Amino acid sequence: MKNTILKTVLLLFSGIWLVSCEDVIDVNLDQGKSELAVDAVVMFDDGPQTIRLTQTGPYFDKNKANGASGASVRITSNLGQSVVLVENPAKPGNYQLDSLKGIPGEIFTLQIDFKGETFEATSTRVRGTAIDTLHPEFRKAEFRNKEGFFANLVVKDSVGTGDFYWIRTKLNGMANRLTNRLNQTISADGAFDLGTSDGLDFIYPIRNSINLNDPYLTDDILEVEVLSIDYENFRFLREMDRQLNNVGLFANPIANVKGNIKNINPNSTTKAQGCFGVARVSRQTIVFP
Amino acid sequence: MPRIYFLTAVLFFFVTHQGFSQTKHTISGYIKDAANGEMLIGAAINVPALKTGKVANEYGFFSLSLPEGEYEFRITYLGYITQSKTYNLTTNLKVSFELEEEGKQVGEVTIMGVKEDANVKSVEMSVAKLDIKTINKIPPLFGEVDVIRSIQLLPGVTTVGEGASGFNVRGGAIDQNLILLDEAPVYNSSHLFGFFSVFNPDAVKDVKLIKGGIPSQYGGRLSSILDIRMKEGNNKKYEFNGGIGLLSSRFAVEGPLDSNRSSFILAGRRTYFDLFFPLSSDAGLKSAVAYFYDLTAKANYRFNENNTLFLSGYFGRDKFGFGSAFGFEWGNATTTVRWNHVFGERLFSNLTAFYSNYDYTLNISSDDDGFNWQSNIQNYSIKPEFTYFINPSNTLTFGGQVISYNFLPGKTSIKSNGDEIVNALDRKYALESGLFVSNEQEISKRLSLQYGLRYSLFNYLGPGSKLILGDTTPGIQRPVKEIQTIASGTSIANYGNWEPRFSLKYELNEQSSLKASYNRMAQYLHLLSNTQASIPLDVWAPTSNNIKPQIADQIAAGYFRNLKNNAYEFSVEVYYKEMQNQIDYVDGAILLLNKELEADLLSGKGRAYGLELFLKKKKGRLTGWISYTLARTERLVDGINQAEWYPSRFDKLHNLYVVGMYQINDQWNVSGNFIFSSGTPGTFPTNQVEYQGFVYPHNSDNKRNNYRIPSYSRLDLSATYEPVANKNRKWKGSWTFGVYNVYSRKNPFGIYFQQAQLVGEPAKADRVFQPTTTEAVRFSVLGIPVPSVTYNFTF
Repeated sequence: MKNTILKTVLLLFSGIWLVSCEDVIDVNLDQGKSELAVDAVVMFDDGPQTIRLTQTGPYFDKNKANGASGASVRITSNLGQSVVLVENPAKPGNYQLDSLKGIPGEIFTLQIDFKGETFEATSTRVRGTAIDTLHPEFRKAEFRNKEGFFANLVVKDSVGTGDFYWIRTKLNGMANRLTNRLNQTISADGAFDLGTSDGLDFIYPIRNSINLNDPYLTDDILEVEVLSIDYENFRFLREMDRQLNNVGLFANPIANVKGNIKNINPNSTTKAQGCFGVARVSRQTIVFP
Repeated sequence: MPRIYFLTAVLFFFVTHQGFSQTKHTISGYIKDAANGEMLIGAAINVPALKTGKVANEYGFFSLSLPEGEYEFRITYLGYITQSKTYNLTTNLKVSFELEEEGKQVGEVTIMGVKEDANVKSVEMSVAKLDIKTINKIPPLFGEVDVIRSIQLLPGVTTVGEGASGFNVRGGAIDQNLILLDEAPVYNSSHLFGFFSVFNPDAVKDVKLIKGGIPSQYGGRLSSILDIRMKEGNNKKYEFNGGIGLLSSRFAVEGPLDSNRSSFILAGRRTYFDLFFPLSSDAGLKSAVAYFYDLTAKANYRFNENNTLFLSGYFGRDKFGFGSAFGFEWGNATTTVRWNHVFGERLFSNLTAFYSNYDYTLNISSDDDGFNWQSNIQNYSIKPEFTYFINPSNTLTFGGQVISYNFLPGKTSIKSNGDEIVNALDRKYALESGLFVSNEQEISKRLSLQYGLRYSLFNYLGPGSKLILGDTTPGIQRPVKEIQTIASGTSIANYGNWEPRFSLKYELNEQSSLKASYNRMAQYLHLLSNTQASIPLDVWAPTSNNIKPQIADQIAAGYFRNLKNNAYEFSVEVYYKEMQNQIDYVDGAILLLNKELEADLLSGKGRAYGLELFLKKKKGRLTGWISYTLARTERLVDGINQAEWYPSRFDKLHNLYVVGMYQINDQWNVSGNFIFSSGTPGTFPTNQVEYQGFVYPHNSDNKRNNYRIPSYSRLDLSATYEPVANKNRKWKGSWTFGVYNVYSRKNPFGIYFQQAQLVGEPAKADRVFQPTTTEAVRFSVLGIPVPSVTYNFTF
């Protein structure tokens, strides 16, 4: 957000903006340690799901990371639930569960035994919100936007501060991940900053994060998911966003994204990256006229 | 507190016990520029027969007590003709001297051979002065000469990169510089982020940067004092100055209000790039606003020989926007009132009262949705300061200062689908005060000392909230245990610090001296900034129960030598600085609009050390300097870099600056500067981590600043052409042509790591954005030569 504004301002002073430049360059990086990485977002009441465990590769590795095969993975809760996830033999590193249920406040723990180490992470089911409406809306041409159909999403933040969300879209069945718009898809209390617009409809930039610069086309199918997540998951996404959109005069210092995966042996030097989060999901789909 | 009275008494005794045997008389007064009445700061009055003398202070005032007798007095100032006058000192005498600039008058004999040897003779060290004439000759960027960019060519001063606001002095952060404009602090010295500074060169008279051996009358920042003095205005005749550049225009008027008693100056400038926006075919750009302007005004009135009143003000703003949909503006405003009063002949006093404000507003609005955000920092201060010219060997300075702060960390109003919520973080209040005493003493012809003490006190006051934080693993957000509500006027936290200051000069001979200094500085205000370059939205925070005052101890030593009859100045200095309570941030810290911001802060130590070589040529057709700094600045913060020392973001090992100006003839003057510096450090990843289709960088050793970005180098050139002036016309014009970054080097500001984004055409299949491969990106701010042309005039 901050960066977007500042870039716009610099853009106005095009004289300066035009002479600045970004080039892709070759850099030799140190060899790091390969670590276990956890990619786990589990949505309640939402059918079979997969969490993915990988082993981190060198930063410039063009290949997908290797799956971390042979782990023993389970999810338990403080209310006595216990689910074992089974590795898909066809896709090493993918561990599957049928479904997960829970009530607000229930704390879930992911436990992973891998290569003699045990890792744990917890995530809390939050109260969450649901999409009010999602519908196509005709908009006239505006600065930098063409005329046509856009999606209009209305979703309200729950009253009381401390609610966190992540909005995701699929266009024609494919997940749409605009890295440079990630910051507008994660939200605290329906805004960018905690408590600044508590209990209102999500603020415009966040509601509008489901649109591209150009209008949607006839017969486009847009699926919108609003995930209600806990603070740890939100903080993780915000740190990841900072590291993914980090170019320019006002870049943040490059720092490791802190996940919530901990080795249960505090003296062990073996660490794991990534994040485990449980989420309540509200989902709607529209077709554009 | 009784300690300070005791010390003061000792000082008084120490400095007054000598020299009662003879009848003494005092000669006092002002040293001015004959052409316009401007006070000449640092001009010297010497008595060759006694080999003694004094230097005029910031207001051009001097006072010298001598045994009864007839003496020849020599009044000297670099670039001015030396005056020699003889007075029979049988009683106290008040005189004012007016010096004429060299090379401007006909038929007079220039007295040569007078030593402009302040470099060697003065007890000051680690001080760099730039007069506005020099600044005006340094090659411009976008046609703008600039005070802060010129400062960055001096030894010990660096910057993170082009466009970064502020400057770093001897390994200090940008908020560790106290920038004073006619004694009022300026909180954001930048226009347009960091490309230009807020100081209009037309209104600036003198710039002095103090990096070490900081006298006790200054306090509140760790690393340096940048003391900028505005012109008083010509008190003899009206004068108009201006300039027309590609980016902006300037205009200044100055003149007498009441002949010889009073004068004023009013200077303004504005960029006009945005005036071309309406010509654009782009609907959005048509309504765009993007400019900055500033107004500097000053007036003085001299009631009589003993009383002068000065009133100065600065008002500047940067404004950006698109119609009513988007607006962003920020600016500083300062007002200073000063009253100079001379008690008798030997006690000079100055009472300063100032108001300073920095604020910004960000506004985004449409019919049903909107966002408005405001923040500011305001302060009022009063500072009485006395200089007692006890005798030629002792000058005692003492006084105090009280500053009252009022911060608005952030107030937002958010409208979403027609509903609106206003949210304000608590205002913060604080009071900073200081008492200081300092004596400059000449022990012998060779040995001089300056020693002083400052006691500073900071009180963070209610109404407000006091955040009680719990402990946790260093490096992560601390838990908030309790938020206490504190009543108005009740102290939330208070701190006091003794700050000793000491400098010594020992003359080896007429041409060379050794100097050493020590100073302790305390800083109670902190600029919270977590981005590579500071941004206008960054917020200043007071010291609190969780944020401790920053403290620095610095020792420095140097050898100073003048060569070839003071045509060359050479110095070599070494320094070592230790800093406590340096602020750092947990990863992912939220600095803006965060009620629990203090939980995201870390505290650590800093150390900086270096060697500075400086060779300056002051006379002749070719003038300029070569500056080389070998420096290191590091931090140690529990929770970062595995609690090991790491280089600061602005650490640069080698810094070479070469500045040259050559007067070819009366019409042409050419200038150039060359900069080479080591790359700043950066944190580079080792591994990639996949999460939900994104790939983010990760350093498996958890290192901070483990790489160096490539070195920085740049050459700028400029030429100024002054056509032969028509003697019958007052109008004089000159053209300045400049090229910044002549050899087009893409100096990296930083190297960043990101995923390439597949950005498709709006054909159906390509509108799904999937991050693809990882890559390293070099970001350069000004990667091409930037030419400029400016027309300057005076009439």
